[in-house]
Amino acid sequence: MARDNEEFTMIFNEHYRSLCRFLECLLGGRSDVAQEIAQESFLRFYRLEDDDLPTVEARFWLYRVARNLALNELSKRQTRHQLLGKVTEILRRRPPDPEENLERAERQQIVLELLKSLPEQQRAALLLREQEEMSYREIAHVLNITESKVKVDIFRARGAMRASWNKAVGISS
Amino acid sequence: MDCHFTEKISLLIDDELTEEEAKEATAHLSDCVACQRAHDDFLRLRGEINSYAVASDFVAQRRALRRILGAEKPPLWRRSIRLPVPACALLLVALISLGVWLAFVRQSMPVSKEAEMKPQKVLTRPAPAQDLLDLARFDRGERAAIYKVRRANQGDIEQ
Repeated sequence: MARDNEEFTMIFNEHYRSLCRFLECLLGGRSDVAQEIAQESFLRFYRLEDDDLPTVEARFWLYRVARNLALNELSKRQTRHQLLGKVTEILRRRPPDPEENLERAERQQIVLELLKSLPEQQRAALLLREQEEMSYREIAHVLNITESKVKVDIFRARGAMRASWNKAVGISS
Repeated sequence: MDCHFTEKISLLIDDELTEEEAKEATAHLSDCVACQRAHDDFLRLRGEINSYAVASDFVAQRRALRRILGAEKPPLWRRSIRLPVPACALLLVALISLGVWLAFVRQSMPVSKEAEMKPQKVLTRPAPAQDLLDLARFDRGERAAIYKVRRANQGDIEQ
């Protein structure tokens, strides 16, 4: 038992959804697994002693732990579903909500597919930049890499995504 | 075809350039069509990635929070009571003052008075109750004898 419940609840409410979104994009749209990992990350955070981690560091700590858990999950799944491949992938996909705009759902699916095609580190760096609006320094802190590596990763990720996006929607760059 | 400056455009939109570099990149951007296109594409991708929304299920979120908070309840003997620091300090000062006062009072008290205050316990054997009726006699069947003595005594008084 470590953290003050009130403080923990505040941090949870502030970051839970963003963390779920980050994980969902990192895992290629698996919302159930994303939620499980997010909860596991928060549980580990809750068990930490107050002195072990200052509250200002909480966000970075959570993203680092969640990303590591997601990496484990990705490697596990890769081995488990190697043979089933695309078929399982299609079956696992969430059917589009009838209320959702079809075009938007399709675009989201394209974004997910494009993100999935990136190497994991580039994907994580790009997501932390675009969705979480972290600085390169903060991203380097979360991913435990240098700032110059972050710079290169983000640029490469953007370049690759841009090319694939234009290809997918039929625009020549 | 990409321009060699495209990497700077990526840094520009991330606000990771110095003021000087940002000015240079902005000036280049106004002249270079390839960089303008890259700039627009990067921003469009940002919008697409940002617009990715997770299904908002607040009930599930609350349930998750409750599960985490409920998972870690320590046993009763390991729970600690948190007191505010000023209250602890005040309590400590009060205890020390009380201790000092008691010590002072004990020291200043005279020995004779102290002795007076001590209760004197003297063990004295109770005097034999000769005048009292010995009830043990009843157990030995001497009731009638006692009765007779009493009657005799009463007779003396009547006479």
